[in-house]
Amino acid sequence: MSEDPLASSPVELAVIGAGPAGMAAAIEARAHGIETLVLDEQGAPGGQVYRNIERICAHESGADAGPADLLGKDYRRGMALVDAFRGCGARYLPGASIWDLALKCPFDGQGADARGGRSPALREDLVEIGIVHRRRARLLQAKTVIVATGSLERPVPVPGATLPGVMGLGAVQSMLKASGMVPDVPVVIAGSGPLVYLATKQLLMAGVSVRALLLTTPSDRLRRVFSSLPDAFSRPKDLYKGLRWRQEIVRKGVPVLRGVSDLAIEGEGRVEAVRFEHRSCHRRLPAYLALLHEGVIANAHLTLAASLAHRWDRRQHALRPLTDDWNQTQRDGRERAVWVAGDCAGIAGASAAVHSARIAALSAAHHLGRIDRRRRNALARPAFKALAFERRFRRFLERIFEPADEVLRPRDLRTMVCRCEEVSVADIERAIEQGCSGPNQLKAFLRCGMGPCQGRMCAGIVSAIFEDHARRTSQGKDRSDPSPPDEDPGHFRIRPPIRPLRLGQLANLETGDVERKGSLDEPKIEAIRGEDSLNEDNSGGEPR
Amino acid sequence: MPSKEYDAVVIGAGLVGAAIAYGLVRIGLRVAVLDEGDSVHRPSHGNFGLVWVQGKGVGRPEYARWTLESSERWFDLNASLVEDCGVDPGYRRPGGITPALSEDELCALKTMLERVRSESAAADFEFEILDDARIRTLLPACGPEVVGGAWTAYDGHVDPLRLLRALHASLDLHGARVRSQTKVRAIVPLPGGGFEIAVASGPSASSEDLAGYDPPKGSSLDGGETNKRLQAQRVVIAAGHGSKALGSMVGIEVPVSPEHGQILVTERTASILEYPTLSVRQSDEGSILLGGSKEDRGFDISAPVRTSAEIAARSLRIFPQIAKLRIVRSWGALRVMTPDGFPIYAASDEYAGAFAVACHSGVTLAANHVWQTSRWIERGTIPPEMACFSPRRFESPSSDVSKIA
Repeated sequence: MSEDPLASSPVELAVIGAGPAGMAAAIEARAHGIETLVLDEQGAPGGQVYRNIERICAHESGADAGPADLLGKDYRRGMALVDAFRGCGARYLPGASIWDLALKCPFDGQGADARGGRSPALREDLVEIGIVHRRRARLLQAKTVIVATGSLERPVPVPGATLPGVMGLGAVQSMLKASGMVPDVPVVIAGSGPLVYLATKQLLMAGVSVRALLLTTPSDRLRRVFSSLPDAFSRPKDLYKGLRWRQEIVRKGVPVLRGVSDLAIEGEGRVEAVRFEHRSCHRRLPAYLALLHEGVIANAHLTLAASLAHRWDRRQHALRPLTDDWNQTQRDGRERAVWVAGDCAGIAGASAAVHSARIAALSAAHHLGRIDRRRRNALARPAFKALAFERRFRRFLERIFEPADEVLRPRDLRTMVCRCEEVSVADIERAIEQGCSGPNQLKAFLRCGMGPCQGRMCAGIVSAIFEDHARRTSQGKDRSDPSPPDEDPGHFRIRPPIRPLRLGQLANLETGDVERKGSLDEPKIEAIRGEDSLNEDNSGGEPR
Repeated sequence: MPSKEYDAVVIGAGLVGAAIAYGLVRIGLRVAVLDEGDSVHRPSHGNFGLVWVQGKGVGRPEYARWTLESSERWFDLNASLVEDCGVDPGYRRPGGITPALSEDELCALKTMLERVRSESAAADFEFEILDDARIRTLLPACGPEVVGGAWTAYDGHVDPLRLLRALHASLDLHGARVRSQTKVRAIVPLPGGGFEIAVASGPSASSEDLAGYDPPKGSSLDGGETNKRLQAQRVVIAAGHGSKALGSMVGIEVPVSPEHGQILVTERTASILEYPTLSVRQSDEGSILLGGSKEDRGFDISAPVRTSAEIAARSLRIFPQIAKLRIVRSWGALRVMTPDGFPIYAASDEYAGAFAVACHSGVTLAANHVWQTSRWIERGTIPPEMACFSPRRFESPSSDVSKIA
């Protein structure tokens, strides 16, 4: 049993995700001698931002403009981080899909999880992670966990968004990085946010025919630039870069329409046209493929599965884990041995992710007794400073690219919210009218969020609808406090498995606490080099 | 008799409360149903969906008969709900099968069913012991470990969420609005009969404190809450785990405790299980549900993976071919357990018109609750043949002494 490094006594630190935050957290932890295991769904480090970076940069020396040129300087910059990660001495398990995260409390009886948190006498958490690796399910235990699962594309709830031929722009960009594949039919791109410009530019360079770029950023948002000038000019280079991307798109002859609203996708059985409003005119644009993007939101599925406390972020219009300044999460008012780092703690971008990961890792190192408080504070100071700087530009982006109200809270009652169970905005409104008290009761009323995607697509919109209702009701009551603090408007209870898991795999779950079958071979842990293929269950991938 | 706002207030809008309320509105009573907030424990939302008779009531023939009666009236209930509101709970009664994994298990099954037949003096109690060939004809998905099983005619299944939805929708159509986010603070018997029920409503009105939970942060207890009073001639406590505290307000002891059960549900697949079993069934939409765990975990409603793994392993011994199916969800729920496992039907001795109902078989007994229990409540008394379900059965002689002392 002891030969298996995964099942050996609990690992000191497990990092989930090998994007910028996960890599940076591992590097920092290793600097303090912490035994670190990095688990990642992908086959190679990089996350979404630097997806496939090692392979792409290895071909860079060739004569042609390779994909690395196409993806730009910022992308290539990730290589330094990957190199440092490869050399940091952390154990790395790629191709591991994580289907559960649970706080396991040693004083809560033999082997009992305590999601419900009923034992107040706990002194130390142990965290249990359910993984599938090479088609086998097992439980790993860790003394501390840093969750660095990044972001998800915000679902865009417009009528017709469920038709075949509608894709997330971020998902298409991921395909470009992963396999160099791009759409071979003309596309219409619609949405808001910096990635819209960047990805459109990249797709144009890769030869994609873009019929139009429809910008859904409401015009009043752009006026906010003036009130955000200091933040905007905190990173003049990035500001300039954004403007240049836009120029390039216009120069390539792509029609760019600003202030587009009331977007709807039309077609019988698949996308045929994009309908929208522009300058008070109804317009209709034939299209084969519609790529939508309204920014990204924190991927909080794991922290929700662990029943950690979450809050509704009113600036990012999404749920995110509740943390202290050191990114440590809590449950039932008590800090837990789980930290979050990078975008899954709230969207802040790749460079901020590195700093927030360092802060989380230093806090975990302190928790594990590797460094004292003073040393932790001293080491974290530069990271806090850098993070504060990064956040200024982020604040600017959040303000000017705040999604339109119709995206956050679909106006069109026909809009499908839960694709799996075909629940529309009208259905939810009716349920609330009939007294449905929150997202969990909505499941019982309408099966909303109970399909195969387990609420991944609709959770945010459902929470937003309830949040909207709660706000309107409280405004009606004329509360003394005009702007209540971020609260949790209620969210789906997330239960394992949060990634695909077959009954047969679960039946043969290796828990590490019972006699295990010796005949099966153990998963290989890479010292650090080498690659591992994705197991078949996670090849579907998550759009950004 | 002074006329009250309501003829009856039903506390609890789960399967038990909603079924009783539905029965009451069908006989013309003015009914209010009170339900709590989004985060309370809702056993009705975690139900497995069986209308199950096989093996129930060993040593308690009244329970065997009571369960059988409900199964017989379930077709009426389903038809009535479809007619009222158009939502079809999808009741099907192909009979239920219990597969046996050894000759000993098969023997035990046979003994048990014969005992139920002789005890309940129902010579026509229909069951069949299946040998290994016969069970494979009925359930071809059985694996090599299955040696036989038992079939009874009265077992069936239903979509429990659609049942709850149908009950709520029908209540609405009959003019009994379910008041959600409403927590009962006090039940005050009024002089001259009837009750006043003090309620708090608002997003934070939940019974989390009941389980010793801290209220979730951010939901301050005074936030957005309004207080109200309702008056009713009768009050029915059907609040599941909340019934213990509520019962004491009207002098009824409801000694219930939570028993943790866990369910896994798979992706939808072609129809492979024509008959439900006690722990595995296929829904009319094609998902396969697996359950059957029983644990004491207090008020913890998580779905621990070790239990899930055991459920999966045991189910695969019976139906190995479902191993390839993906699990879509798992969840835990808390059965409302009485000390002996049999239901509680109680009328208050002190205050006429106060009732309490508690059971873990809200789906199976729904038809009885609609057609019979509502009649008792209308009339104001529980019939003598149901006296064995009074909570007085839990009173030990010693506790009587202590009461006197």
